[in-house]
Amino acid sequence: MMMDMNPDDALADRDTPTSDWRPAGERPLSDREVPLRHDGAMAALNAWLDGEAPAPRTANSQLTPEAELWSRISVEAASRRKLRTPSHVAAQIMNALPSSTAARLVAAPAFHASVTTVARAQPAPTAPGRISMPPTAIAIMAVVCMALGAVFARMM
Amino acid sequence: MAGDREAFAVLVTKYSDALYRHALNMTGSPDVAEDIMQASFIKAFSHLGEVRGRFDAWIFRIVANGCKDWLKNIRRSHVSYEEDDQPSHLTTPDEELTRSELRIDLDWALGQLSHSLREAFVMKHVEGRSYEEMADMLDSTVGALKMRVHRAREALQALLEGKYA
Repeated sequence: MMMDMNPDDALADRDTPTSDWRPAGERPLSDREVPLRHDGAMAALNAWLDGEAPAPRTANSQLTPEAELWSRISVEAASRRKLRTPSHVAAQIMNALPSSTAARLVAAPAFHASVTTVARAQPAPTAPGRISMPPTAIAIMAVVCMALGAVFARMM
Repeated sequence: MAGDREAFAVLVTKYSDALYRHALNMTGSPDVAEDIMQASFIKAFSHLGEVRGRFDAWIFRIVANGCKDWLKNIRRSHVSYEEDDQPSHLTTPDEELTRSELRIDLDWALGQLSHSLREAFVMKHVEGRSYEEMADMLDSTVGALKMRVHRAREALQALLEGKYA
């Protein structure tokens, strides 16, 4: 049995010839070509692999052959999970970064949030050309400027 | 500017392992995985101003799209990177029991799956993500992804059970 995963575009797919020239046996299996086996064994296997049920076993408490296979696949998958990036890759990436776009980092709040979360890094430096000042200092400077303006006006 | 590069290096270090694992298991080639990683981080660096939401989900989507594009291109150019990894039926039963052979066969079987099934399987089983996390990263629903993983398992089961089960 085939199940349509995307009913909205089913018609479009039917009308569009496939772009893959290879015979059916050589093409990768598309989502819809994977037959759904509605047997209890596969359902039990999926439930087990999703952590919703115990492992399927035979009458003498052994894992079923399918469960045994998936147990081995799980071991292989777990070993792949420990794989680390080759050490030279990070340096390669950093060397390949364009320098002209570095200034854009300052304007990216998500970038700073990520960096702060990841490394508890120092606060980002102020963007070139921008001056940051507390509001109190701005108010004091304004008062001083007005006073100076008044003094100059009297002198003239 | 140097400080920003250093800050970006922190992100590269933090996320590169997970992204590399994804790219490697999607493409089956360490060299291609490295290229996709490099291109993705450069793209991310150049478009950091466009990040909305979580950086890890954003960079993951860039890498996932890179893998998808590579798979499309390699299939279009009629080159099958799995050819060298076809399971051999000439080995002895003892050799067939070795784990390295299962590794090769699993790579071959994953190469037979469509991109979306392979992606779902890799994220669930190899990367060990929950369905909720997958739905968040792929902008999909838990139900749809569960179905996709089930389909991937059934396809892999059909491809491997003749030899192993």
